Amino acid sequence: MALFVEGENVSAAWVEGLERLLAAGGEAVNLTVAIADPTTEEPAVRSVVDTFIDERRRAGPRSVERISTVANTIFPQSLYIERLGEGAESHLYDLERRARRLTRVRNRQGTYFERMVAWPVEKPSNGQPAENFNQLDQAVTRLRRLRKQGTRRGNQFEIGLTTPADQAIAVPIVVPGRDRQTMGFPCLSHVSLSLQKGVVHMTAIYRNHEFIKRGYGNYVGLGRVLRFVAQQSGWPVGELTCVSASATVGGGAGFARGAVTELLDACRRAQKEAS
Amino acid sequence: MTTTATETSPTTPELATAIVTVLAEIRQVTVAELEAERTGGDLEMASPEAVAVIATLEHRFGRSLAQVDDLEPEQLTSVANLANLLHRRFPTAAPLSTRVES
Repeated sequence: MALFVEGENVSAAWVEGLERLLAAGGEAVNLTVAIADPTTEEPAVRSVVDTFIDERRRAGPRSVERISTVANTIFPQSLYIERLGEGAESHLYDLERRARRLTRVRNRQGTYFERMVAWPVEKPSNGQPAENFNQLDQAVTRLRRLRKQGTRRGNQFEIGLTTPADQAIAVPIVVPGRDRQTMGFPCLSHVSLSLQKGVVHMTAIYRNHEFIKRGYGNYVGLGRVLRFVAQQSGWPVGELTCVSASATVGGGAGFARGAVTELLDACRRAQKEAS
Repeated sequence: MTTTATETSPTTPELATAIVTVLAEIRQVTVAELEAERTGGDLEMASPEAVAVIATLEHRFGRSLAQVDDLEPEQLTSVANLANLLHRRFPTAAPLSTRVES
């Protein structure tokens, strides 16, 4: 049975999601997490989760990624220089292009952000070299156009994965024919942006989601993408809804049920002390 | 910008200066502003900034300056940290063109 979770910010939604997942036995189908403001966190909760993850990284550096690392694979916030205004967009893309080869040394299949800004287009049959397609830029451009037109609603952005370059403002992630593995990257299948009443919202679909190892960082990263798109197109940021077709608390050394329950308790205490 | 491997290793301070110069371009500030921040201490940076800096310097020096383990976030925290890392790697760094792309 599907689980539906709501939260005011990333931290509140994640803690609530973890509690519901644990109550459901550690796994669920169609875990749907709606975050009213995905650009904010509760620092006390973030600190608790960072500490939990750092302890496990000391035992095995690649057993789990830091929240910041997970978020950076979706959106490298430090390369987005907001004060440049619209110029920040091209600066970000230039830096991604420059760092791509080296980024792939650690992330052999690339990152989610790379796929958003450099979707691999099939080589054309006319002998011309294949060009990557920047889906994020297309989303920003189309949303800017609607703002100039005074149009406050846009559902025409919804689209599937197969023809992103032709029709999409959505952001497909899975490359057919190349992504054959069933575990690991990419778990994020699709990102969809919609404009409703002059506010930009995001829906993200995960085929599988390891909630502790990835969930928090993914929500942070997706919130950054939404903020980027909204800021660059001149619309306010709306909500993020993330659907995980399959969700698990996560397993492996350091993630036993007792440890996870302690983590949840520590998060709840941190929330109580901060309120 | 050259893509030819240089024969002599730059010193750690020279590498630190090169890092600051690239970091200034990434942050879109002047080198003087960053140097002022750095005075009397180190200068922190985020992992994506560090990766972009290394990628730029690899291109400049024509060498593969970072290995997989070097790209863990704990290794990429500051200008001094990165300068030391690159200085250690420089003498044995392979020419950039030989790196196998994934």
